[in-house]
Amino acid sequence: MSKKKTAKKFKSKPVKKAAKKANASAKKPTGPRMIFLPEKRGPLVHLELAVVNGSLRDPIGKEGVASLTLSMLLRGTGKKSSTEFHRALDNLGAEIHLGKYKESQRIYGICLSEKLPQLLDLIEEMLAQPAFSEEEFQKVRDQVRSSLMDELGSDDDIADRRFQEYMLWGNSYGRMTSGSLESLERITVADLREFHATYFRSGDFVVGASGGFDKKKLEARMRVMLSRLPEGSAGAMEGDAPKFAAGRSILFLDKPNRTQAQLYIGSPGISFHDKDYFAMLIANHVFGGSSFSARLMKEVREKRGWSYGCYSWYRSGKQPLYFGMHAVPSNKDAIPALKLMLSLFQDYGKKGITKAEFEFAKKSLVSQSAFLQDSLRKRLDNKVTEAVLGLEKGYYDLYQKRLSKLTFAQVQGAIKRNVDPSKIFAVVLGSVEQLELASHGTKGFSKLWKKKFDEPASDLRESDPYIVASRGISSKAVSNAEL
Amino acid sequence: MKKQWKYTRYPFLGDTHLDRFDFENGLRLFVSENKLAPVFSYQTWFDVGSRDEEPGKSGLAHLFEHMMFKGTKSRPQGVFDRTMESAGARDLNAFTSTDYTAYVASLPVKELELVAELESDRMTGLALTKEQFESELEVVQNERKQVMENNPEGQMYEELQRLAFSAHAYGRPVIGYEPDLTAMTKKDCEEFYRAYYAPDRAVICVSGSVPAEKVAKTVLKYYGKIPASGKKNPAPKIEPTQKEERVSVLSLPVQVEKAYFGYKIPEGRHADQVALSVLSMALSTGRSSRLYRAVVESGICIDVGASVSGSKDPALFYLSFTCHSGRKAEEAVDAIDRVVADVVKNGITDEELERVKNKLRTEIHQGLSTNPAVARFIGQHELVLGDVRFALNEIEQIEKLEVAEVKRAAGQYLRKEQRSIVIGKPQ
Repeated sequence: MSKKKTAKKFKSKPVKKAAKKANASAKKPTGPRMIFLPEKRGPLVHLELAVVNGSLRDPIGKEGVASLTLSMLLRGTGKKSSTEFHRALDNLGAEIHLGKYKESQRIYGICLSEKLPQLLDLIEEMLAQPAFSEEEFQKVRDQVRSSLMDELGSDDDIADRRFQEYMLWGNSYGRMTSGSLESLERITVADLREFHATYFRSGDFVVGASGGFDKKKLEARMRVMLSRLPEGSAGAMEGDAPKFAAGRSILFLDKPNRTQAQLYIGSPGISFHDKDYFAMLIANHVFGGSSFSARLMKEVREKRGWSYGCYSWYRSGKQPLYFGMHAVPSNKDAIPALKLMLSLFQDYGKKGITKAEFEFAKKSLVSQSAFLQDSLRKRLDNKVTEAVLGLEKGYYDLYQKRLSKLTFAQVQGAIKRNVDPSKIFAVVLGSVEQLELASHGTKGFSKLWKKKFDEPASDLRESDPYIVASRGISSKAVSNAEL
Repeated sequence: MKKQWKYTRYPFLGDTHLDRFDFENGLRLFVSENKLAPVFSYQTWFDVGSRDEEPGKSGLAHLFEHMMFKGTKSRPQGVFDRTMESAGARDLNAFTSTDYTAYVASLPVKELELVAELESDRMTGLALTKEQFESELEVVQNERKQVMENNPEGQMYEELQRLAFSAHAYGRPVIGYEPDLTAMTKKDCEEFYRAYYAPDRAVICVSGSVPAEKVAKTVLKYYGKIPASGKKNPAPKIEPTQKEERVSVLSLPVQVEKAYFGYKIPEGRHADQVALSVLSMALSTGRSSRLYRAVVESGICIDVGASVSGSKDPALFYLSFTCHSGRKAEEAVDAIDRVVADVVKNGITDEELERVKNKLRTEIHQGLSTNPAVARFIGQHELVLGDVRFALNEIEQIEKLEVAEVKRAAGQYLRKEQRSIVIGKPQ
């Protein structure tokens, strides 16, 4: 059992300091980037406005500032109360959605073509004249707080959150976009005003539209809209690449009365910019990608019936974030499933994939590339994402070509360079006493911890290891067991 | 020359149209052409769902849906998935509801022949082994644990259906009760397959960059010789009129209180469905809606929603909410009751009605902007309403709807004695 609660308290860093730094680089006159994909017959217009300043900009200890700032844009403007704003929006039959990410924040709009001018007026108001009233701030913060409490009721959601928080502890990508119950308490409306003033600069925007509109008119209108924001850029925003410790670590998150366990397994990832990225797409398609023919699905679900789904994926960004695997087996199968997944991963890292698997995955992914462009919304989002992540122009257009060129030897080489089964961090959320740890054994893990599922995430390096009583695994053995 | 099919063309959305082909063996094919990308969606909808299960056999329709991905006489297990995925199939999946079961895939245009061949093969040649049955049954039992036993909202939904329907099969969960699943046999699946999987019980919906006549010829080639089953759906049990409010409070592993409501409403083909759809949107769509203002803006809840189930048989008008931490579900129920009472007494305003109409105009185009969504719209409405034109007609009726009709529908259906409520509270 963990006896100490040694979570390092974050020291709040005032937004002002960060703002001062950003203002220094704001002098550089960079213009917004614009993408227009007009479609003559389209009855709808999709808008996407992305600012290349996401939650990586959150001050340490005040995680959630970027997300709350974006939410507050929909909470009233200098001209309209929140209620008046939403009445005007709803009367148009239009929608505005917000996308909150670590590397960008996005505003998505959709309306009938004839309603576009009015929707643009509303978006300009929310972007350039947000009210940031104290009353609305309290409401929004309460909403987020209660949503975080609600998340504790969903095994999958809370396991996924804790998996990222613990695995990426100390790394900028491990700080959650929505913040935490603790960090929300430290945020004030002044932080949000400051964040908006500092990071919503015209030079950091990528704006675009697809559907039925006049390109010239819309481009002129967008320029006027963005001219209402401060000029320039807040400067480059770079998160640090996560570092994975050597060894296999496992964290049990105890939640009573569960009949299943949530298994999340992490290992080093790959960035969008890595030369091996496309090769690893093919490799992962074979191992555990969204395919019923993938190894994980066949071994865990089809052959043994242990879990409804079993997948693996890369969470990528400008930096390599992580590689993840997920399954939801019954209590009796949880540890065997975990061991099987790790053994499959070990084998994949050692031997790679077969030529036949390579041919299958390449053909499948090349053919599927057509679906990257099968709606106006997707086409726009691809282009905006290219610009936001600094990807090569036409990245998504060239997707098929890049996959087609890859050889078996290149994919095998990429697996050797990027799959490292010696670096594993696993989270098992479930009723720990039901998982029959003692009888299944925990050999193969160099470090084990046990926490309560609703306990805030902390630095595991400062926690005591968890000891499984039988089979002679002592505290020492747990810490030093061979992989 | 003998006529190969009966052809009909319907006007669809905007200036598009829908081509319908009726084959001699009872198979219906709908094709909606568009040239947005060189891909298409191919969906096979079967006229069978949990509504057609006998007591003690709950979950059979869904369990069998899983079995359809096992091998056929000519293609062993794994070949279907592998062949489809190798051809570039996306969203290769299936789903089961109370009223239907659907098998869906999207593919590059050159693979039309392939999907027709594979889908027709499993419509008639499924070959299930004992081992496959047992392993897939365990998968489904795990799915049940995931979406029901270990999911508080799943438990609440199951309880709401049970509470609202004492006789009709809508009271049983689509995924089935655990004891029923445990008792299920391979023979149950095989009998179910023979009865319900045949061309006269299916609707094929295709949307994408494929010419309608080419699709029809391909479908004829692969399905033309499959015989009809002639099987009719069993008559559903009539649900007795609900005379008093039913409330169930569940103690769940949640941190915030939640609730699901269900008011009894008529079947999807009923004339009042249009007014009920508009009423649900006026109540809950957008932050200017009445329920959002009453329970979210007021600080009681973090979300609220309303929706109408357009089913084969009388079903439910749903309301749901999640409370703020520390707030009681009863506070939200009271606030919702005040909103409902006001709508029943005074109706909605012209501005609200116009807002909903504007929203629907956007949503119809938005909701039908992808091939899978178009195919789904056709399949679902053709099976549930008996004719997809019924749904297209409803869209026109909404444009003509007046506030008085919404007020009447609110008064007739949003009555306490016709509702069931499930409240989830922290343990």
